[in-house]
This record gives sequence, structure tokens and C-alpha cells, in this order.
Amino acid sequence: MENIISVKDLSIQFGGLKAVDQVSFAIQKNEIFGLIGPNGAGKTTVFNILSGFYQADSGEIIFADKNINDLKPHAVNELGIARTFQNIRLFKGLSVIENVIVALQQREKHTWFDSLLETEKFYRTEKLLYEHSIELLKIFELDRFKDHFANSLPYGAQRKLEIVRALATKPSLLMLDEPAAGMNHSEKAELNDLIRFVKDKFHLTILIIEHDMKVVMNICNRIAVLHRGKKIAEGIPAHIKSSPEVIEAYLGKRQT
Amino acid sequence: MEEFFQHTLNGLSFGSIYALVALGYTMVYGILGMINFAHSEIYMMGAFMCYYFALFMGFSAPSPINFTLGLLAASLAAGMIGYLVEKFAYKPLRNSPKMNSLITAIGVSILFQFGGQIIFGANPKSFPTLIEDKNLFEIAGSQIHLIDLLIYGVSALALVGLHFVIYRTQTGRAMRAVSTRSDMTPLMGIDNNKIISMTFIVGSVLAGIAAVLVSIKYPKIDPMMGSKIGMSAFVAAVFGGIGSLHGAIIGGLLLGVGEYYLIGYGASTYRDALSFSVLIFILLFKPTGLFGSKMKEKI
Amino acid sequence: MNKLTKASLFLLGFIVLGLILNYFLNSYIHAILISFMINAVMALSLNFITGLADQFSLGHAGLMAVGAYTSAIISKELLSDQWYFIPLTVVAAGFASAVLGFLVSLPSFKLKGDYLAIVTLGMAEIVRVLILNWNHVGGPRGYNAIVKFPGFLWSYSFGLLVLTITFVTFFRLKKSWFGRNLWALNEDDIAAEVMGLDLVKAKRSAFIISSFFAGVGGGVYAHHLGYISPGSFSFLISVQILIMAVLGGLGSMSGSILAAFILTILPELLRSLPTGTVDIRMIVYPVILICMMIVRPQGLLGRLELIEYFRMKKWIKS
Repeated sequence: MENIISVKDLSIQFGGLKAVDQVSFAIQKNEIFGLIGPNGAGKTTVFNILSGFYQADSGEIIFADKNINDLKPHAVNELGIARTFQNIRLFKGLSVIENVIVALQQREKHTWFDSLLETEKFYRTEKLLYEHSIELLKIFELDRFKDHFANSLPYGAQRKLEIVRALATKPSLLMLDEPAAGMNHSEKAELNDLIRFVKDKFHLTILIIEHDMKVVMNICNRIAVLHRGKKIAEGIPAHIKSSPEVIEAYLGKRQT
Repeated sequence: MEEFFQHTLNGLSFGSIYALVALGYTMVYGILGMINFAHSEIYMMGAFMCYYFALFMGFSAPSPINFTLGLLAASLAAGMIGYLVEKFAYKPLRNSPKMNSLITAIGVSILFQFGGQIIFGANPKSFPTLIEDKNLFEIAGSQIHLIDLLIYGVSALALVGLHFVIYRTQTGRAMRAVSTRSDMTPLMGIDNNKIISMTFIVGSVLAGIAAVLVSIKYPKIDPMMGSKIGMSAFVAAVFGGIGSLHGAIIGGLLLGVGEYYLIGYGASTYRDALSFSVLIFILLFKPTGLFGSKMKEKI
Repeated sequence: MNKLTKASLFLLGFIVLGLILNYFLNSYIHAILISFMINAVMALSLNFITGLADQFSLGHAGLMAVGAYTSAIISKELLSDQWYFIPLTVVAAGFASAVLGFLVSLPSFKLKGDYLAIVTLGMAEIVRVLILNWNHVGGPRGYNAIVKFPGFLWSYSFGLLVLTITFVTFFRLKKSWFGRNLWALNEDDIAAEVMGLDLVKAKRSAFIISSFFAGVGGGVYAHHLGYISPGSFSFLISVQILIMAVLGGLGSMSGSILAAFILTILPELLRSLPTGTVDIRMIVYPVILICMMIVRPQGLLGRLELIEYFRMKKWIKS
């Protein structure tokens, strides 16, 4: 099984704080890989480095046989990595379908010429964009909300929309940052199904940060655990669940 | 060689003025993230308020007392005007997008300039001689005047005072806190509004002092005097790293000296363009200025 | 009614209007009308970068100056004052300003923050000082005897053509994928980046296009007045253009035209007030600006276009 992305000795420091310290892991194609750890462990920082918002101080990231260390976020996305955010970054002033269209249109080739003269090609492209967006929304049963403002949607639907938007950019690796945050029990179960469905239908690899153990243990093929910037464990869910280092990181040292 | 020295001295003299004014820009930017375009007009008002104060007090003969009183009057007036501008024009916009504050600041600036022309008259006025200039002594062939020494001295005093306030008082500490995490400071019992007002007042007082210092050396004042120095001082602040106090001071001094070399060596008509060329150069290679730091946005 | 018919009707309407204006009004009003068109072009140009792309530009007077002087120089030196080449020089003016815009855009968008404001401020100042010291174009005395159109109908038609092209360009860009990108950039630039939107490229493109039309405005201005000087392109001019864009609504193209109209007519009405030598506009404008920012920062139309505004009003009433 080949690796879709491999991270080697990734480190970044903010002022005096080593937020990520020599972290290494590799994700195989089509697996669901979990990144967990107590608050402040550096998980979102790793995401930010992978997606191009931060430049790592040292280490390397190889994605699809390319070194992507110095790429800017939009270039990272063009290569095939999409991500969502912990605190949902939808385009609040835009409608649901407009949110998807903006994502979709990044992959389409438009020219200035056609837009200015409003040629046949312009109308065709606009129509296609619209139709593709509806199709995508239909898959997730969000099409009936298409003209609503994005932030008028119920919370769970907003999270779904963010994922739809990420998928519109045709990634091969999808990074989800705490997708279960704020969800109730049934919503979480739905989320598990959704993630599996998305992975299969769109042939994706998924990297997920999550705090909710039920979600993580349920859907992840493998998990890496971060604590204070360092990776302290990696393996299959059963292994992680019983690892003493992991338990200690979350609960503290056992007092005997 | 002695010419060089003379230019350096003049430059430092002007540079300290730039530094004083630049501090106002940098402090407001550091704490509110806005460019206070009206700051140069507060400087101008400092000069005019001192002028009218001198008139009102009937100052006839120059004396150190007159100078000190004039300085105080300008500082007080400038501080108060700065406070009022913040309270009525900027505070209502604190939660609006930054661009709105910028636009308002430009509006206030122009209003003061042209309102000043209407109220004070557009013609330059002669600033009263608050203190008599004397040729004190000579170093390396250059005459050292009392006025220049005063400029250095008072500026230095003002900067020391500022340093004391910022680093040794509770208010100063609060100011530094608000400029880094204004979302957290209310949780520590700090009243952001008071601190922001304080910042404006301090910056304006410095501008008022600078205005008097300039006016005793170049006694022609007019309602537009703020805009020329404002641009240069602002550039100095960005050059030094906007948001950094030390940057503003160093930037101001360097820019003042640089401009005086230009004047001294003949390219004076390009003086106005110098500051901006420096600015663009800096932005190309070190956009955060000499001492500025890149703020990492939380994602 | 298809597009061609609509366009032809508009054209007819404006020709008729032009003829009426020509015969029934005096040359003073003619001049104001052309002024309005130039102001509208400038306001549209600024609105595109500051309203849609949310990048504050304070140097549009500088871009206008480059356009004006470029077209004037070409007219006088290269084309020996032939008025029928004016459109050519105006297009050249646009390109000249676009080049300057490109240069300005290089350092301005690398970091987040108000850098464009600062750089454009500096750019306008540098341009002004350079022109002031360039004796070939008259320096402080200005550049004189620039050829004009031989009559109101010509300058009216040309002005209208330029304004229409400017408006349609910006309007269609706003509607298109580019406009959507700009909106996304405005709403949440981090989310936009993560979807593959190259922010720097988008902002740069917006600024270059804006600069082009600012130059065009300058070119038309030079050939309308016949005389240009560094004093005509001061920071205050940039501010006046800003006020128009803000009054109309940052982001509304039709709003800019409306505001340009209001603010070109208004000063004519104020001319009769006694204020001595001080231009009363310089008091009224800032007051308008400040009050608007506090009371109604979205200006007249906000981000909506005139037609959307009416539709919305109808929808609210129903």
C-alpha cells in the first residue's frame, strides 16, 4: 500500500514554544488516519503546516511524490489536499449554493474575455457550475437549502456544507479538523457514516483531528497521538486505547 | 566634513520631531490597528493653541517661563483634542471594519485642515518668540544654537517620560497588554476604553510638544503644516516597524537625517519623495519595518 | 427583448439626450456633464479595488496623473495634436497606468494589512513630485494646450462611450467568477485560500484593472480641460474620488455613478455660498464622510446594484 502523504521530523516553534516537535507519520492511500491528543498538543498546528499556512522550521512533507514544504495554501489545494476548520469557515454572506460554486470554480478555466463579453461559453460555463453544484449538494441532501444563507443552516448542516465545499475542489486527501465538535449523539453517528461514505464515493484518503473517542475509534484505520508537540504513540485503535503513554497523556500519571 | 556634521545635527534635530510625531501614529496603530490620519492635524492644533495662548497671556518678551508655559498649553490642548476626536469620531466605529475608521480619520484630517483655514485664516502666522535663540558654542565648525539644544533636550525628556510611562507604570503595562490581546484584557479588569483614550492622549501630547519645538525654530505656522510633517512622520513609523515604539524613534531620527542630507547636497526638491521611496523600498524587502514583527493570525 | 435591441435602444436614447443637451443647454453645463463622466469613471475604478476587493487605495490621483500626462504627451509630441487620435491616447493612458499599477501591486499584497493604502499614498506622492520636477511637461506650471474634441457632441459621445465601457466592464467582472472570487476573499480569505484561490493574484489583477481605468479617466480629463498640472492630482483628489465611491456604496458600481452625479452637481449649487477663498467642498465633503461612516457606512446602495436594490424593495414590500 503506497503512502499518499508522509511527514518526516516536522517541527515548528512559536517564540519559545515548540508547538510541533519532530513529528513523523505516513498515511496510506484510502485509509482514515486519526490525529488525536489533549488540547494544545499541536494537532491543528500540524494541519496548518500541511495546508500551507505555516512554514515548518524543519522537516519535510512529501505528498504525491512532491515536497510541499514551501507551498502556499492555494497551491497545496491545487495539488489535491483539502481541509475543513475547527470553527467552520463558511462564506456567511453567501448562499449555500454560492459557497459550493466558489469552490468548484477554482478548478474551472474561465477567461476574462468570455466574462466581459458574456459569450456563449460564459453562459455555458456558468450553467455547468450551477448544475454541478446542485448535483454535489444533492448527494448530501443539502440541495433544498441551496438559496439559503450559509449561516442560517442548522449546525450539523453547516459542517456538512463545509465538507461538500472541500470536496468540490476534487482533493485526494481530505483533512477534517474536529468535525464532530458540537454534535449530539445521533449527529455523531451520522457523521461516522458520512465520513465512510465520502471516502468510498470520492476515493479519498482522510486525515481527521478529533476529540471524541467514539468517532475516532470507530472509523479510523490507524491513529497517531500527539502530546505537547511530540508524537507519543501510533497504531491501530485497539493498540492506542490500551497504550499506557496515551492514557497518561490524557489522564495524568496513575497514583498508586 | 563640517558640513556633514552640520547636516547631521540639523537632521537629528528634525528627526527627533519626526520621532515624537511618529510615536503617535505607531501607538494608535499598535493598539487599534488603524492609521490615525488626523494625528498630523492634532500636531497643527498644538501649534495654534500655543499661539493663541501666547496671545491671550500677552507674552511679550521671550523667557524660559513663557516657553515652558507654551509647551504645557500645547500639550494640554493637543491631548484634549486627541481625546475628543477619538471619543466622537473613532469610538463609534470600533466594531466596524477597519476601513471605516481609516475613512473617518481622513475626513477628520481634512476637516481640521480646511476648518483651520476658515477659522484661523489660511495665511501663515508668526509664531511668538517664546525663547530667545543664542549661539551657544561651536563643535567641529558648526554653530550649536540654544534652540537646537532645546529641541534635543525636550524631545529626549519627552521620550524618557514616555518610556517611564509605558514600562514603569500600571497604565503603561495595561497599554502594552491591550495592544497585544485586547480581547483578554477586560478579563483582567482593564477598561479597554480608558486605555485606548489614554493612548490617544499620550500620542497627542507628544505631537503638541513636537509642534511647539518646531515652531520656535521655524516660526511660520499655517493650518496645513501638519500634512507635510505627518506624511514623513508616518513613513518613519512604518519604516521603523509600525507598532514598535523603538522603531518609531529610530525611524524618525534616521529619516530626519536622511532628508537633511538630501537638502544639504542639493536634491531638496525630491525631499518629499525621499520618504516615500524609502518606504516602498522597505516594504519590498522588509515589510514589517526595522523592528516590526509579523503577527501570526490564529487559524 | 434581446440584448442587441436593448443596447440599441439605450444608444438611441443617449444620442437623443445628447442632441437635446447640446441645443438647449450652455457650455457651462456641458463641462459639468463631462466632469461628471470623468468622476464616474474614477469612482468606478476606485470602487472596484476598494469596494469589491476590499483593498484600500489612496493613490488614485497618482494613477490618474500618469494617465493624463501620458495621453497628453502622446497627443502633443507624437500625434501632433490631432483630435481624432484622442481615443488612442486615452487607451495608451490606461496601459501606462496599468503598468504603474502592476509595479505598485508587487510589494503591496505580500502581507496582510493596510499596505496597499500606504504604498499607493507613497506612489501618488512620488508621481506628483516627479512631475513637479519634470520641466519638459511644464513642471509646476503645468502642461498646456492639449488638444480637445471640436465640440460638445464629440466629447459627450466619447465620454459616454468611455463611461459605458468602464461600467459594463466592472459590472460584468463583478458578476463573473472573478467577482465571486473577490467576494469570497472578502468574506473569509483563509477559507478562500484553502479552496485554491490565489489571493495575491486576485488582488493584483483587481488593482491592475482598476489602475487601467484610472488612467483612462486621466486621459479623458487631460483632453477635456486642455490643461493639466501636478496640482490637479493631489491627495485631496484621491479623497474626493474616495468620497464618491463611499457615498455610492463600496461595492456598488451603479452606486458610484449615482454618487459621482450627486457630487459633481452639488458643488455647483454650493458655489454661491460666501466662504472667501476656502473651497467649501473641503468642509462639506469630510463632514459627509464622517457622518456616513458613523450613521450609514454602506452609503446609498451598499453592495447592491441599482436594479437589485429596487427588486429588494419590491420583495420587502410584498
